[in-house]
Amino acid sequence: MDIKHKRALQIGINIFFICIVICMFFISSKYAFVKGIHLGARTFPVIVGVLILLFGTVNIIVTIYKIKNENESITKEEPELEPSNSFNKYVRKYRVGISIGLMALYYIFLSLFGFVIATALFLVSILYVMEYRKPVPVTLVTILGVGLIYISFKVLLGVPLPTGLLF
Amino acid sequence: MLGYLGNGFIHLFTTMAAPALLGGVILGIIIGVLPGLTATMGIALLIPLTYYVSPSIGLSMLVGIFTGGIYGGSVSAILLKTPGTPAAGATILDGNPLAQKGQAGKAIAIATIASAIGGLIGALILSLLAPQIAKIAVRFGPPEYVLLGIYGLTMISYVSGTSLIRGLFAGCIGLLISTFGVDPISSVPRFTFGTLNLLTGFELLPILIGIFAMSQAIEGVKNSREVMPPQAKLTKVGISLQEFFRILPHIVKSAFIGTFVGAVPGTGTDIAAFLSYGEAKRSSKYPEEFGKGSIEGVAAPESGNNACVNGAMIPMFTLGIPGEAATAVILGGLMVLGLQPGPLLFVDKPEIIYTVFASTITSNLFMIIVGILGARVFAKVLSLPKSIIVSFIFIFSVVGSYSMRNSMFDIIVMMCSGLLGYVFTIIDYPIPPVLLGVILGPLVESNLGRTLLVSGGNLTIFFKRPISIFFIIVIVGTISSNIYKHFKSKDAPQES
Repeated sequence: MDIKHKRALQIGINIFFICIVICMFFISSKYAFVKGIHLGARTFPVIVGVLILLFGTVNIIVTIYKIKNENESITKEEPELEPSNSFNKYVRKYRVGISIGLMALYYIFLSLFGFVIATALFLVSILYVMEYRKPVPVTLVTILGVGLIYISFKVLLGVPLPTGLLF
Repeated sequence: MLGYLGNGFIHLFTTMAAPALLGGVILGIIIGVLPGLTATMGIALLIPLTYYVSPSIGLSMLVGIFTGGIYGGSVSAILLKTPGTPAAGATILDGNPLAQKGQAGKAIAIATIASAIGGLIGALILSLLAPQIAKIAVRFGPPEYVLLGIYGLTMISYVSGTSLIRGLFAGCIGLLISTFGVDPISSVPRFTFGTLNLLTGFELLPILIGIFAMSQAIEGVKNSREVMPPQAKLTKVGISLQEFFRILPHIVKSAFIGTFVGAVPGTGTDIAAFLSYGEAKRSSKYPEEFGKGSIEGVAAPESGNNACVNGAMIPMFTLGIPGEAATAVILGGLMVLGLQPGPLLFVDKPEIIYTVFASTITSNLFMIIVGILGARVFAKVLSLPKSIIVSFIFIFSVVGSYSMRNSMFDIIVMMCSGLLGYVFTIIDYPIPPVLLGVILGPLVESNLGRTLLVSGGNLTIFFKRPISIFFIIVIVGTISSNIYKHFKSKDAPQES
């Protein structure tokens, strides 16, 4: 990530948490603050919220100051061998975003199909995203991985694994 | 007392208690290595087995699982950046960077040696000084807990990296996360949004797995095309004598910190590990190495958390008070076996108590053998292709967060924490302070409320109690030394 985007994200994350704190102030208004010697449910969140506002604001100011004073040094990435297929080009370019999306899909599939099927599908997909695509090793890793986890958790230790609506 | 302890050893090695202890240690390590399976869960799973054996054999097995489980968490923390147990949260900070440098074998060896020595010191203190320490531990009231929590929060300055403000910001986010759930004093459901999942707040383990393991997995996808250097794959297991003597003072100091923290009910191995880490960094001759693969940074938390295991047994055996979750489960096991924990247990059943004490000492010796022999096997994980390791970190993150309380909600918590951890990683914000906030927030808040209640709102209570005054001095000393170091580093000539 280049320095410009990094600084933007640094400011963004501070603004994000400042917004959360402001929402929290509104939501917590229905709880008691300090009542005599009773520390109300609102007290601690408000103290923490004020501190986040303070540190978040300082962070934003420091970051803006840094942006003004630093000369961007662009590091050139080494050219990679481009995949021939346009789909694979897209997968390589957005692999982080795709992997986050796959995690969300994994959660939905776990709720629907249960651990074994969802995990097998997730493993194949995430390995594809990471360009580990030889059919035989992928099949072996998937079967052995899912099997080992299932046997060690569910069978040997009796620890429940996520179950879906269908299985 | 030494005579009883001697008899305990004789009983341990002339019955099936020693093999049961060894089996417990091995099983505990396996459970600890698997993310999501905590020592508490392991003990709970195996309590039914103890019905069929004598109390000393059953208890020896539980002690073995507890000791092995806490140590085992460090292995996955070092190799996969996935903490097997919450106690291994602090071990990640230097254990994983050391493994990344191609010294996984050394990191595991340090964790094993430190865990064993720390545990051994803790076990000796338990065996010889349990009643005396219990007397101090019961004098801990709400003001002392508040100050203990605040002292823990001062550790943020040691784990903040280059920017203290960013560390404080991250720590406050952890504190904010800890405010979800029922208010500890008024019992008002707070920020629960009408869902039962949030009534007890966020569980620590899914957050821990998310911010360390899941974020690491996303980072792993980003760098999946990088080829792992050959030297990172498998290394020699062991440390030099020079390195051993460098980490030894930190191991010993952390063992005392861990035992004391464990002896105070309501704390735990995670707090002991972070306090030990912070203290090691504060007193190290090489503080600049922390966070980049410092051997002291691996040794201190491992010594602290394993010593805490024994410390936690002090109030359990002497007063019948479980200090934390794992000892609460063991306490249940004791009762199932027909034993009533408390001072009378030392009079009524000394042979059982001292066999257990002998087990705590011996379990650390077993652990060092199993740990060193197993290290080469554990380190082989790194010889797998990076894409396979990363994909299994994803899956273990999901399984680990689900298995804690069989909750799909915890998987969502883990994923959100993972995203937060990833974003923090790419924008150079420190992650460990978030954890400190999550761990220590409830301790500070609930006890501050109780302090106000018992003192009638008079805050001078903090200056009227000897242990409180001790903590105030330590906190002021820590903050002052940090401010001094901060200004000193600013005055020092900057490297080009």
